[in-house]
Amino acid sequence: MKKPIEIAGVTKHIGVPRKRTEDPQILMGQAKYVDDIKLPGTLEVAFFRSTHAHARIKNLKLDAAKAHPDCHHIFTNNEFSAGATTFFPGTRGTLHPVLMPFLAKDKVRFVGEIIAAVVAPSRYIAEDIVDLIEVDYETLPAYNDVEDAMQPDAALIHEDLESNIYYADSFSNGDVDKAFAEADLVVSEKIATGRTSAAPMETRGVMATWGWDDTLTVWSSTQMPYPLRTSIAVNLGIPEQTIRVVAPTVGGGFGQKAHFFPDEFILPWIAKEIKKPVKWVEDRREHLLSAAHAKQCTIYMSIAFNKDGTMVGMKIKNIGDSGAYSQYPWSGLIESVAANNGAPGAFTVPNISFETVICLTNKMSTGAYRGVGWSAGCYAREMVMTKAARLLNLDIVDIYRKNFIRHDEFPYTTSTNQTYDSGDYHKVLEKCLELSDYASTKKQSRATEDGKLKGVGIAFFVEQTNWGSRSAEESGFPATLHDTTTVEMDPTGKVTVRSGQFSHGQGLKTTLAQVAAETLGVPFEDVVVLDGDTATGAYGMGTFASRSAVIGGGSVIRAATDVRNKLLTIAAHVMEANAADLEIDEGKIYVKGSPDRSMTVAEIAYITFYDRFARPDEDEVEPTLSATRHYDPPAAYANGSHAVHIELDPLTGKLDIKRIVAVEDCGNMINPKVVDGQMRGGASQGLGMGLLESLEYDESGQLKNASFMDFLIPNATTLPDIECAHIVTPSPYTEGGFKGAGEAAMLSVHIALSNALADALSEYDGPLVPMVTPIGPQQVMDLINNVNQPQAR
Amino acid sequence: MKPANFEYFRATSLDHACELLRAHGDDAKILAGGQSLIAAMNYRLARPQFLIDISNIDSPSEITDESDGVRIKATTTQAIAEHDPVVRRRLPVLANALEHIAHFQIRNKGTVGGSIVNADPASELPAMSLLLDAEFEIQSASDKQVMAAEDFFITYMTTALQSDEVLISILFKAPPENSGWGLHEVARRAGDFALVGSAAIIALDDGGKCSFARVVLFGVASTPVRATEVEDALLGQSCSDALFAEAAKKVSEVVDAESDVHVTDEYRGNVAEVLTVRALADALSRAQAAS
Repeated sequence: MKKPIEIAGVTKHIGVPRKRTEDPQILMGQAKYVDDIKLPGTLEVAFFRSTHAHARIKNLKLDAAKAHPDCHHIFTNNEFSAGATTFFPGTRGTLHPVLMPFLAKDKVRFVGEIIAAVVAPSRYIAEDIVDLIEVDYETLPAYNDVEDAMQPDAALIHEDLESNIYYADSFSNGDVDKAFAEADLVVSEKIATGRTSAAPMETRGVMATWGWDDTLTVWSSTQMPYPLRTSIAVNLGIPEQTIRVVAPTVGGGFGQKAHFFPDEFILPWIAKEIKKPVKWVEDRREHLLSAAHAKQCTIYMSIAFNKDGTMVGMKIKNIGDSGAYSQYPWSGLIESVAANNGAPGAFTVPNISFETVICLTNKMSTGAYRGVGWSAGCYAREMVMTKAARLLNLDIVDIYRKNFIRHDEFPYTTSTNQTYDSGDYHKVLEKCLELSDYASTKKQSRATEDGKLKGVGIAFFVEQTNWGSRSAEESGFPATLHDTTTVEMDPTGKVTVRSGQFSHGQGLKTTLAQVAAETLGVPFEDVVVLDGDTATGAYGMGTFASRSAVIGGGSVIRAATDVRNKLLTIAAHVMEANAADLEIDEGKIYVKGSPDRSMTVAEIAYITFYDRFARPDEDEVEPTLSATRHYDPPAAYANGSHAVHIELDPLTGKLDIKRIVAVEDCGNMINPKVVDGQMRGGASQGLGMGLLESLEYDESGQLKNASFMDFLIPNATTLPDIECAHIVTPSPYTEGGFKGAGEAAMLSVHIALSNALADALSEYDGPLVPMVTPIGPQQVMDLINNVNQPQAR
Repeated sequence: MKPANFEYFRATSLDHACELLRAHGDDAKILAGGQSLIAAMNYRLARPQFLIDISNIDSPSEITDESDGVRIKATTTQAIAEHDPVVRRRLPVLANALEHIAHFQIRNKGTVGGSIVNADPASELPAMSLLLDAEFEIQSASDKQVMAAEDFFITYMTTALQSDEVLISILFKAPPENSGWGLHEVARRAGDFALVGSAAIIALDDGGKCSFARVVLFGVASTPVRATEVEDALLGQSCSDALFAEAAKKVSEVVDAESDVHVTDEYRGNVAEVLTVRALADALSRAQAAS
């Protein structure tokens, strides 16, 4: 393993809680989203979507629609029959690839699947034309629950597969049976996590235009412009260098926009066919129906304990609900495979076995959403631990302390073969306990004067961050992921960072500039970051999976170090000094110890480009100040803890969130304000998963809550202030000592919330521990009445 | 999520609106604040051919202090009614109910009449009109009539209003002197439609016995419902927690709830009883404070 680069010089930028430079434009309404891109003559697209969850298309009747005077075109699978197939070379389990046609062919598999694309002068008219399309369907049995779809006699959702299970894996380490046989207590539970949607403020949207110079320009509300470009090239057979993909301002993605959706191929294809600009902006109903869902798992979790709370063994069966397809590119494996490979969490679990099953159902496909895998997997483990704590007469905190990997055990390889780089879990936990007044609250009576019940809950998480190839592999996905950044200095000494990542809320335009300024030794204001446009960046994988601070930041450190060294070589020549004796600080280059012997970075840069008499001979030093560097770092594992205080109305099941405390260790922080923002945003979404969000399908496969009236996400009235604190243990493996921070914040708020509920009910006969998400009033009353609880086998 | 084609008329007066309604009645919808209608149109759940906008008629917001209550012009926004000093003084339960409607941005556009005519059984204003014996002033091109709230709500999102009629004002009757009120609802988030709600008004006679009782539930049936069985169990009795608990059991007589994505019908029935006890307890303590 290569040793990380030491950032030379004076620390002036990394670690500074700087306001984000991207915010004024967003706040003042100048930011341009896909829907703000206007081109003359643009036609709009509306999709005709399936109203059946599982049916054969017997007859698609387009005549009435085509007869509409404003109907320009209608495209179906007859015209465009491409599709994407699960692609995961090297997975350990048995994978049967699933084909997702971009337009449904003979069969529909979920409500909302695209059957036809209507092109018309406006979206209004396009929707009128959509209303004129009719289909004769032959309905087939629709599967809502994986455990029904898995039955041997279940109808096949994809007839080219042998069953509705398309991935199965098992793993074992240690002597699990012995551990369970000898344990003092075994707790076995079934845990069911609800189906959520990231529901970003901006829905998805795609616009495409074909140029008469045979070029294709695509605007998409995506998190990964370069991979989208490659994918369009491959799927449409267009030379990649003629395609430009622009992700303009994107109003949140959270992993949901780190997929390729059928529309991202249909729109470019239509633009190429009809040689006109076309636009489609997803409405909220479409978004809830057909933008990747997430986090629905059925988990059978058994943990074996000794009396003192020591975990001696763990057995898991995690059944992932993939929905109707394998969402491209991450597939429906992503939730359960990541969950199982990260099952030990912060704990020493010497004996472990798990099964992973990925099953198709007649619902929208599931995909990435902040905290992929761990939100469901950690919930299952921790709820079982909470129940065990109650049965052993312990607090879950005792079990944490008993089983934590100690700070002197790093690097630590878990029983599932993940190598944790660093951390001090005890310290983080103690900080969270202290800030949240956990121990003192626990001593108080649960009942309040007005008939409510108080509860406090804690949770702890480890998060695998910075998805490069090695993180991915440790998570069970041997994908190839890395990033490249170009850092270039112009003749006036100003700096442009060309990134292949893409800031859509993460503040990378600020934080990557901080890293570049630090590494180069120039003022922050002298750096600009270009991202989100394949015409201006360097090929990169995009921004998702807590990767950009580490991989983007690391590649900036590498490239900026190269530029700095070049600059110093030239400065040494100009200043007749030894390069090793030179220091750069805020745009000034000086001889160490003699600050009066100095020149500015701008002077040296100008000489480099424009004064061949003063600079070194070009055969000796090439007169450019740019460098392009790649980074595919080792995995770094962040950790943290959440505490939640609630007040429960035991007669209505209503929970009020009183306090949320978040403590996180993401290594060295580039910008603590940005990290706090991530922690608050993540905690809010975690609370959404825990308290509110569940996309509900009925037995015939209709989505019952495809609007924000019934699919509820946290809003300003739901959230208290979120109190943030940090512990810093730098990663010894990564450039800059950074670990990711984006997803971590979502990983355990829902657990702390459920623990708070269990705590509020601790004086009831029980133990009453929730095994589902979300815990809405119905689920709370069911728990109190001990009815409708998931039954372990 | 774009509405189907429609023709838009901006009414300049109530008479103009009535004329337009007479011409287009069956295929027309009145647009006031648009907070429910526009969403329904965008989802193409509502497809009116004609939209008659009454939000620009002269002085759309009017609140009048009358001897037996407060009259509110139908086009008055919920925000104006909520903050009106006469409403707050004479109908504090209504002012409180208005605060529960969605969020202030929505109340700035949504109208009192619009919410009543929309007749969502889980919304507050239809329930308040039953609780406060409201009288609806209704107009058509050829006729004017007054209808009692109890005759108005037919079923889910359906009222007795004919297709050529428009609701022009609501007289909310002031409850008896020295009465107290209580209002409790459970919603998933502040501002969401209530899963269940219960509102009560109680007045006491000189001997401290219940001389007036009014209990209305919402979110538990296809319309808001008055729980007369509960009221009857209270009248003439000495109020106590035990009496309220016993009386509230009778909410089952009027609860005809359905299950939805949030809670079951059973939950609604149980919680209706819980909230009725609480509403009565609040009403009693306010009545005692007022006496």
